[in-house]
Amino acid sequence: MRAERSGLREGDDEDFSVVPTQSPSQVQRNLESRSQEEINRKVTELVQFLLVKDQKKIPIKRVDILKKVIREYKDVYSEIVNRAGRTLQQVFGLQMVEIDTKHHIYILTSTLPRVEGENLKQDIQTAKLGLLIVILSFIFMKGNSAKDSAVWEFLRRLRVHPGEKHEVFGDVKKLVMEEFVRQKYLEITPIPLTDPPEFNFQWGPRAAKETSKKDILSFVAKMQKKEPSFWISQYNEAKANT
Amino acid sequence: MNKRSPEEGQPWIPSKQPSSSEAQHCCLKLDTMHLLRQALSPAPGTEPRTASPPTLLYTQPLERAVSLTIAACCAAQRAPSHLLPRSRSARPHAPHRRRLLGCCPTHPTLPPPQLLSLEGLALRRFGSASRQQRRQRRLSGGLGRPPASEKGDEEDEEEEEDEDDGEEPESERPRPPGSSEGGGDERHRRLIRNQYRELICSVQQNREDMLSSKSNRLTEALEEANQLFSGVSRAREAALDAQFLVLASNLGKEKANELRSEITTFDSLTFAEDLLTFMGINRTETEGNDSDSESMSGGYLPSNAWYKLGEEAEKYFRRAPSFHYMLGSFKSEPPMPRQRIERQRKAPGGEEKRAMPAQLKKMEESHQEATAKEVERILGLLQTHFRNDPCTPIFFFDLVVDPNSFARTVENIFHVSFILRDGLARLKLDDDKLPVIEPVQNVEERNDDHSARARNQVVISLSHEEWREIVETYEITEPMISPPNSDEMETA
Repeated sequence: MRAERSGLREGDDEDFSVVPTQSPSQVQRNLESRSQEEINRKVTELVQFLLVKDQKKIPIKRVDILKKVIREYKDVYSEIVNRAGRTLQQVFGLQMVEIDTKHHIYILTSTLPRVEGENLKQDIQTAKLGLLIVILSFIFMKGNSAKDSAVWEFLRRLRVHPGEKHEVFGDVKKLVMEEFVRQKYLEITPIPLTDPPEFNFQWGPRAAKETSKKDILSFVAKMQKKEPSFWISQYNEAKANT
Repeated sequence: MNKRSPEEGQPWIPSKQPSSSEAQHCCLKLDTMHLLRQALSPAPGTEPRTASPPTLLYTQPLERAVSLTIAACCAAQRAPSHLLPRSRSARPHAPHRRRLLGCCPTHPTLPPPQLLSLEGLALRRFGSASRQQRRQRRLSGGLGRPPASEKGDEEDEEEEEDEDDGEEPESERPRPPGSSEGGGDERHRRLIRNQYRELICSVQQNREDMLSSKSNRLTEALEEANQLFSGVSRAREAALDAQFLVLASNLGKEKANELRSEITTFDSLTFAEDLLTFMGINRTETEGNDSDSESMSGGYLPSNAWYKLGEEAEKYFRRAPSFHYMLGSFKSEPPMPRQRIERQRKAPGGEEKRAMPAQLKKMEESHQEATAKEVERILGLLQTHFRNDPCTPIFFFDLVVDPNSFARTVENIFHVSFILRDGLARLKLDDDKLPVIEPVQNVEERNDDHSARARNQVVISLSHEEWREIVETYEITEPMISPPNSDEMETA
């Protein structure tokens, strides 16, 4: 494992895309070479970094973590991350979830049970979540994928038009097609060989982690004042998913 | 339907040579039927009946047969109404066409490769009977002739009589094996027709039953029709068969839709309506105010609609709450004192802002009541003075400056600012560009001042030196505003 590192140059322009794989004993040895204080400081920095990065709900890349926080403590990376995860869980009730195992991209989700209570902070993020849940419900009920024309047609009925400036959301098209996609709530892929280009809407990985088909089905059921089992195939699908 | 009599046993002499287009139409009809039958037949392995194929096709040159097959597929969505039989129940033409349109839900226009395979299929169907047909089949080898089919489609608008008449002589020629001639043939055909009509009737009556996903009735009906078709040799029965097929395919399409809709018995329209209701839409009584299209519900959506929905949505998400510093960054000034100062200096009147630099003063709570009393006293003083001398506004510095005490001067300015803020007095610059103050007389004027004119805020600063200078320059000898403890009212 040391051999892997030897290929890297020391210093600021280290290659942070590669994290040395280490055995626990290796980590232990590395840990001993550093003081507890230093490690804890790094853990705190990482926790702060994650919290701030999560403000905009844009997924956090491991590369960034290494470059901006861990830096020269790469050898104890796994230990720092573990401790940071524990802190997040114990102090904030949050957890780091990997949504892309290939590129190592993480998001923070809440592990606390949802509280039935009035949301004290209602801001534009709340409104955007309303729009998002509507889109996610539509996609799910239509069989986990929907064409963009169908989605916009549906949104039109809710007084949301892609061409017009919405009084709450502003540029809705940008919000849906760019922001939600960047946040990994939605996955929008172009359908090949279509002209003018059409897109396919699907759930993004963040949506899959932050909510579930069962939850969305219950939302739809609540809105329509029916039982979730009313929609047979979606119900079965939701059940199978848990 | 009974316009022609040839099949009642009499020899029929065509009034004119059947044109190729007419023949095409006949072939079209039968091809369509066959193809549709194939498309709808339940079991993939069912071999076409080889017994007695319909007769008329084979006199046509092969290319035309092939092209007609192609035309059949195209015509499946564009079947001219007159091709379809007029039944006793006398349905109008258009529904036939529509129904036939509905027959091919997934393939509105078939590209040539699919056509080729379908035509091969059709050829196989009726290619086994005669040697002639076998020869034709060898020659065919998978030709696709879209141009010819287009031509066939163009000449769609032919009269039924011609086409039917055109059929007859051709059907006479190659005798279907196994069918007897003359009267027996006719009885047999009548029987077939009856059976077809019964079948059609039963399908129509039991529509709902057939639509149910649990029943196989539709398949059974199709099987029955298949069997009946084996005895068909004339156009009339074939027409009935086509009619039945239209009906069956229509039902099939509905069943397919229902099947799909089981997966999505999700009506997005009602969902949208329900969402709007949840968001608190205020539905108006009058409709059609702005319902330009597709019955969009009228109504007024409150501004917090999406927030309400978002609040509900949060219950279904495990979203990590965003992390924000409560007090912001270090650089901003503490907000609380600023608000207080603003309250003090809200409108020291004035049409123009003064250029004097600002000096912030703090208001002290403990002197609140005393301040109010003072303010009132000064206001009274001001008004009294003005009553005595209505046209002359008072020179500001004359009013506020106390030559004996700097502190009192400042306090006076402070109290006067309250009066100005409340709009009870007005501060402006006179012709010499010196500030003067005058009370605002009537209520309307006061209100106007509040709303129409913009509140100008001025912050006055006064240093000891300046105060001394003012006293000297303007030769102020006595304070106009008496100190609070003395109740005397002094005039300037």
